[in-house]
Amino acid sequence: MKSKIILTCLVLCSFIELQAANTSVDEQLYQSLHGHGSMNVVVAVFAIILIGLFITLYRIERKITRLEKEIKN
Amino acid sequence: MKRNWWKIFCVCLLFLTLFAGLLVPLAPGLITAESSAKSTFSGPFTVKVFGYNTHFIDGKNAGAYLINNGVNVCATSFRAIDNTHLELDFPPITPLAEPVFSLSVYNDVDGKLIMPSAISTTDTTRGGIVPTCRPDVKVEKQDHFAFPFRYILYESMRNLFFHVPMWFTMIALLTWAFWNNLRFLKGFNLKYDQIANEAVNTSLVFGILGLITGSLWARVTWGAWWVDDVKLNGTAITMLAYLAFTVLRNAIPDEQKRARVSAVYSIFAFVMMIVLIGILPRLQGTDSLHPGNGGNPAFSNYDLDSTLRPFFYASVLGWILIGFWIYTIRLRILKIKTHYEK
Repeated sequence: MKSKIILTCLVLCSFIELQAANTSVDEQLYQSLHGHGSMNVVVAVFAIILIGLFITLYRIERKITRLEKEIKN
Repeated sequence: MKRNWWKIFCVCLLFLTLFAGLLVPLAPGLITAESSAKSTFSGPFTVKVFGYNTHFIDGKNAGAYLINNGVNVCATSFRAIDNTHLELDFPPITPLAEPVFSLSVYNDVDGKLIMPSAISTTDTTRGGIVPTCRPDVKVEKQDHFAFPFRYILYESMRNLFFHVPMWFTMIALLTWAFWNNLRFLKGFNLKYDQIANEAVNTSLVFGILGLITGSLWARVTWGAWWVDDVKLNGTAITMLAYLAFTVLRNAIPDEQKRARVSAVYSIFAFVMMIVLIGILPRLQGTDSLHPGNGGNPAFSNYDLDSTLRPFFYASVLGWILIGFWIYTIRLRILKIKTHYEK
């Protein structure tokens, strides 16, 4: 599972690298975050927080699943 | 229902922050001013102005002037191309002092907008006759409810409701953990050890989120993913100390021993965090980019803070409550687990 995720990330990264023939990825990201009067960075920050909360939710769920299995056995 | 009222309160607060934080408009401001004269103002010149959320066409009683050394130079013509683009003509000027001019544009919708150090030349002549004027500013400013306009920050100021509360939540949870560590050391009741451990684990989630979101915001406003700032390095050390804490706990098999060692470690880590995040960056003489640190003004010093303040406090409380919500769920799972293991 983990290796698949890492592989997907690598493939995505290489796509971004190919897209950025002239400017660096970092510079492109900088430009896009500045869009709409720097509003894009607020959206990105909020998305990161949501992702963080989803990961937390997922981890809690996994704990409960493990506990359920233990109780069953 | 009675026991869950604070969760409903938390959801309400977060919705308030989300809607207000994203929908309240930013106050108008001037972003760029470009002068047609680069080396000298000895002839008439044109300044192209780009505004943000401005009303150059809609606003009546409009005008503009340059300020040098306290003396005003009024624009001879004011051509609004659209609400955010403006062209101004100025007469020849010989600057009194340094050839750096502040620009002021006014109308009855936006009020008086000032852009400090808007245009400059490489002119070396000084002290000539400056064509002065008394700008006829009759601004009847309509009181819009808006967040203050700040250079460099612009709309990213709204991160105040999302990035900053992450740290408040982390510190609130760590304070709760610290208090329970003390309670544990008083009677060696393992119940308090569980509480403290789960509080630290939950606080790490918010700490990591604070670091990532802060890094992104720093890239946009300060130009780098990580800057050499006392506050940043302090938080990095704190995060590492608490990450080490979780590793340390797993390394000790004996329950009582583990609880005692981690309680003492956690108390030290908490005191260190207060020094590194709360005290060191605030000292005069330290160099920090964060507001309220290293002699910088905090946002409470700004004139227009009253619009941000209520939403900021609401967001801090909302995020702290959601942090404690997650923590209680984790604690309940741990309690059920220990109950069944016995």
